[in-house]
Amino acid sequence: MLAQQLLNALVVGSVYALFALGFTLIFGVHHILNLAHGAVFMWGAFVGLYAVTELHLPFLVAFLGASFIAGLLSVALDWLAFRPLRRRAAPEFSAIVSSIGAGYVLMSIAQRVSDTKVMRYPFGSFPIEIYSVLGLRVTLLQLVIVGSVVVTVAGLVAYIFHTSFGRQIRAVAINERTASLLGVNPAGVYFQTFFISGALAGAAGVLIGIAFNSVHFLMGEPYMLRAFVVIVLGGLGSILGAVVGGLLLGVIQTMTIAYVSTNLSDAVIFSLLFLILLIRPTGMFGTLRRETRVARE
Amino acid sequence: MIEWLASYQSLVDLILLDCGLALSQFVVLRAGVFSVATPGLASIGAYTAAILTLRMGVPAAAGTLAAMLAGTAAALLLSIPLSRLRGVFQAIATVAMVQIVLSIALYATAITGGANGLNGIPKQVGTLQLLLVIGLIVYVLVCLGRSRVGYAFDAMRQDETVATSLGISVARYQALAFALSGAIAGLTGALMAYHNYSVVPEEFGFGMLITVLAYVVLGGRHSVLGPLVGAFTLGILPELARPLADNRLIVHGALLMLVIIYLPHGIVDSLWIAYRRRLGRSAQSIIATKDIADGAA
Amino acid sequence: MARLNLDGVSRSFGGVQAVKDLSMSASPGRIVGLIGPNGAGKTTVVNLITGLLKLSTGRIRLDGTDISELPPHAIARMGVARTFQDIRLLKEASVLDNIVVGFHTSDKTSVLAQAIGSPGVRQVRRTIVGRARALLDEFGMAGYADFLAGELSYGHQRRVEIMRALALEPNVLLLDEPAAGMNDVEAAELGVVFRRLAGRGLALVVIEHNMRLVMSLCDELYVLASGELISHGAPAQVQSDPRVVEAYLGGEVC
Repeated sequence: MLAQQLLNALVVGSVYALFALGFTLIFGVHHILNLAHGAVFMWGAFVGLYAVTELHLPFLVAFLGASFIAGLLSVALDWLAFRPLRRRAAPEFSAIVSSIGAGYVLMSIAQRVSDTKVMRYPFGSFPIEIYSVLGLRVTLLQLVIVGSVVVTVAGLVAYIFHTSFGRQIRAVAINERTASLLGVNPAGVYFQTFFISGALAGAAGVLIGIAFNSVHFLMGEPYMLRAFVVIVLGGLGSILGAVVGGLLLGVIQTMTIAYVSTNLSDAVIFSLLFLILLIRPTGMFGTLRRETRVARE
Repeated sequence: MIEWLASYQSLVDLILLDCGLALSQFVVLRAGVFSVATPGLASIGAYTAAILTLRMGVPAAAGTLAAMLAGTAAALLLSIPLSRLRGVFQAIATVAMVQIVLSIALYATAITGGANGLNGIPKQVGTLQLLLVIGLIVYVLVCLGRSRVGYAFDAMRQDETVATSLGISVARYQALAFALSGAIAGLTGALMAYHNYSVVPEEFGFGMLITVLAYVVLGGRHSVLGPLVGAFTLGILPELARPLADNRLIVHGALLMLVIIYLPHGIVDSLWIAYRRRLGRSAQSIIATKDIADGAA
Repeated sequence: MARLNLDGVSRSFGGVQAVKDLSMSASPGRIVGLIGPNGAGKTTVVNLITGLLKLSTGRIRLDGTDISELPPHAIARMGVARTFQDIRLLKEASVLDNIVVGFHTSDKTSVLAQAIGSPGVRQVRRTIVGRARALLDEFGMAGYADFLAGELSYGHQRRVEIMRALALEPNVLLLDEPAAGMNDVEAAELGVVFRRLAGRGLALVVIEHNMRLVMSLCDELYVLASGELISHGAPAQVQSDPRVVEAYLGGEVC
């Protein structure tokens, strides 16, 4: 039984990791806390569902298409919500507020489009195949979820650390101004990071949508909150942190629900978040400067 | 005339309660503390009052006082760990706190009534009481705003390093800001309980968090008038036009984005700053002529 | 007895030693200059004194009291005021408000009294505003009281910052490039102000690149290069010290 629970945890954790990756990427590179990330995730789910139910596309096509569109949506989000602030050299607070507003706009459009209903995938949208691995019951979907995360992380790491685009991203992450003086076009970097972040969120949205067979305009909110825990646990701005943090949260949540109480799981998770912020705000692999109070350093 | 007033009374009451919440949020933001704990603190106040009155027959006045103390105590407790954090970390920690309070309110069914909350609270608070209490809170905040505390808050908000260089103990004043915020939130929570007949956990969740933040962002973080203008504006907006009422989410979202991009100081503070600028420009020429006449450099 | 005393003070950041074994002092009535090429560690010294940075080694004493471990606000309360290299005014506030906030430590009323708006509190605030206006008069900026601080010219902003530091009623005043961006006339005027302040018994430490001002104003100089003290003494001595000339890349110091 424990092993089965751990498997569940792995799957849940993978989704959290996928969601958190995009979120932490934006924060790590641009120091922007994009609170509209959950709305992009939700829109990925919407587009995926639409592609399957209205356009009758096969799931894989819908999955890739939704991720792509979510990426574009994320770029549009940057243009409308963050770029005007960059031009005005606005403080951090402004970006956070703007992202909250943008998230709400996205959610309300989704609410309209969906008539506030919970939407579902028609039966058979995704093949139901169950395997037995080491005595554990594993579905194809679960394999796809975990597999997606593995492929995505590998791809992301390769992109960031082994391509010239990635080098530009890393340069901007260290210091945008200096990077631009050295010939890096920050606008290009913003496009890439937001696109990738959105695509990851969209992918996660499609997977969650089909995994729970439930797509509705508020589905991003609980993930947004979980993402806080993941990135604080793993370390803001760290890819490894997002993955490890996501998996760890998956384990903690699954175990709490299984062995303690469903109601208490939220309290446990957020108390954990609180504790980490007290003891080690930079998290396990945090690479960013800590925002600390003014005192002898 | 009386009927017109009577029909709007519930709206006035609602706006007054929102003013209370807005003022609680305002205090911490004025001091440069990025806390969004107000819903959690108000929840603690509301439940304290409701439980004392329903379970132990405590009269409303005493219940309100207890709620205020509970809110203050919770806020002070919160300020201890939060004194080590800044910016987004403070925000995340306080979001976690709101979630924890929500979670406990939902789970501790025996005490809090669980998801159904507590009902049948005798209505003791009407428009007059609300006006008096909010008026009192405004008076105190205006007095503080003009005194050492207000100046310290403004300095801390704009440049913490400068504030410390002037002898301001940031930790102490942040704790004070939290205490005030908690007192006001606790008080408002009690007023909500004694006015709305019931206390429900979901009232004090993410929705309230965003709305209350929007009041202060819209109105401004320096002048006490700011949050009041914000609460009033967002309160009457749905009344002005049906479409505005039906699309609350998108209106709030769009407003947040537009304000933070184009009017970052909020309505009231932007007016104040513009006024100061005008003073400066007109006096500039007078001084310039005087300088030339004096032969000074 | 010296007011401010640095004894073997060092500070490293990772592998880089920003300040190395520095000993210096500042006394009431004297103006001490802290000069050296850019990146020499001068601002780091000020940050160490005012409590923004931890000392790696050494001790700092104020009137005999060890302040090496004290937090920044406590050091400010003991009478150590400073200005910043990148003028840090509260841009959203008026000039008057910027100076009034400097009188924070002069207002000893209780929070409760402030909250109820007691007449005593109002009296204290009136007094403080009066003193702020007096400072503005002294610096010839009385008409600027209600201007938005961010709108002022650079030179005027500098003066406001100095007034704010003076509001603290300091015994020690640390000035980080106060004459930066000023022409010689303005700088000379500033020098007169500093002399006057020293005359009142303040101990001044001035970081400056304007050599004319430094030579005419300072009673003694400390020359820092790459974090180390390479010369110390009266301006005339230091000026002709070959190590100093070399530190400034072989050019003449004045």
